[in-house]
Amino acid sequence: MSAGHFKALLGLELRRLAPTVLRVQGAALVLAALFILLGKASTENLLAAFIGTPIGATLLAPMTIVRDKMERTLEFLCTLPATAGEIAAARFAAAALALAPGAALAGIAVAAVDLPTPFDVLHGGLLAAATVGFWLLLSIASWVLVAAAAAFEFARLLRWPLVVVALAVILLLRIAERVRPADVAVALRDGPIPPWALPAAASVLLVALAAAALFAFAITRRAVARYRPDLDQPL
Amino acid sequence: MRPEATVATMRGEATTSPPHPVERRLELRAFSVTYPLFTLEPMSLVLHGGEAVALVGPNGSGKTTTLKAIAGRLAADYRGGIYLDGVEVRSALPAIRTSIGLVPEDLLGYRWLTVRQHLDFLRRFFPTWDRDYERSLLARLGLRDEVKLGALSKGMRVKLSFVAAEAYRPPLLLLDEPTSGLDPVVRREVIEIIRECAPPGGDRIVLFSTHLLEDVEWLAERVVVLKQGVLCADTTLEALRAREGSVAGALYGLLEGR
Repeated sequence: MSAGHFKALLGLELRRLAPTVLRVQGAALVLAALFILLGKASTENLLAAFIGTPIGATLLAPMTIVRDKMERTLEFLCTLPATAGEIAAARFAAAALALAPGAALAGIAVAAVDLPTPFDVLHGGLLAAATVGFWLLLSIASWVLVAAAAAFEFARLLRWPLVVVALAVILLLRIAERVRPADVAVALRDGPIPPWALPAAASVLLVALAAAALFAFAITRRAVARYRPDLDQPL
Repeated sequence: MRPEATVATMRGEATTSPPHPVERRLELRAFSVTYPLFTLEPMSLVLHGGEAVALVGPNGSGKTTTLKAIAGRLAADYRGGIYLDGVEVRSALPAIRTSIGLVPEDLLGYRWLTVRQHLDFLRRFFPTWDRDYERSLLARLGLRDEVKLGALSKGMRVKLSFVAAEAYRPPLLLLDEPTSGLDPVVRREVIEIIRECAPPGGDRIVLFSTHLLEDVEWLAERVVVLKQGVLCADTTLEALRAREGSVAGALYGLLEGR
């Protein structure tokens, strides 16, 4: 992989994403300010604004792929002396960087509000780790969506891939119900937790996330390499 | 230096041209493409450094398909081989694109980028990109740095495509109907700058497609004629003039099967 190609492609993506990211995060700040002005600055409302916004922002990078296909700019990128891997890597890096401000704001918001017991355990190093974890999760969600947008036409994306995503969300919610975040928070606060439990859980989670990220990257690279704009067939 | 006249109908036979002092060489060996509604029959062709070759034929005859395949930009798969200086283009992608410049029918790029941003982005992919040369081309063609691609006229888009394809002085310059749809003044400007950038007898190969027979006379020394996916002639301007008295008359004759 050429570092020069990667930097050029990343710069292009960031140039494109930056204004939208600023607008989205600005909207979260405006929403929070409105909550404060209207006297509705409850913990739930503020967290909804600052955690919900970056979740929505996971769609920004995938939408650039959809737009690239519609405006023939993916064809333009595919005419460069750049590999599909360089194009995919730049997309992934840009998606992760675009989500960093939102994750950071969410972390700051969590630090600023009074969290109810037992979630008040989130402070200091644990809050920083949770913020990084949140950013990682957002990034991987965005990468999976980038892969889907690269591999499927937008119209087809609205058919069975949408069903798969819906089923995955339902499954994740079910898992979250079983795990019960409140119980995890209580355990973190009161123990007893064996000293190996946190590193082990973090390792398993990281391996799973890395596998998801690598799979998404492989799909995206393959989709870019095989991208065939249906344009060069003579009439 | 011009190749000897070789008027022929060919299906997979190599075109013979006299040896050229420069080793630069583009070779199509039994190159063919099959689409559901169109087939480009096997075509073999050799182009040498210093040659300016016109690819002429009616709409849908396979000109753009051929140029895109040579540039490594054809979406469809093809049979046969395309070799630039002995290197098979398809197997050397994407790196070989640094040796090939293509001016497509329409400019590809981000509408929200300015001319300067577009060229600065492209420059990072081509090690031989010459910024001074790029600036001189921009000035010569009257392109302004700050204009966004989305605001460029048809003529300006062609000019910018040309600058983007020429700024790294690729050994092989391909132009897909570079003057189509341009007003006479801009057309003349584009033709003149192409002639200046790749003068006859240099070490570069220029291959351009066109409908405009005047462009053939202004730019080319050699003419390849495609008709309904078949290479029906590979000849020189001199041979065409000798055949019917005028290049246009001879080309019309070839296209009409006379």
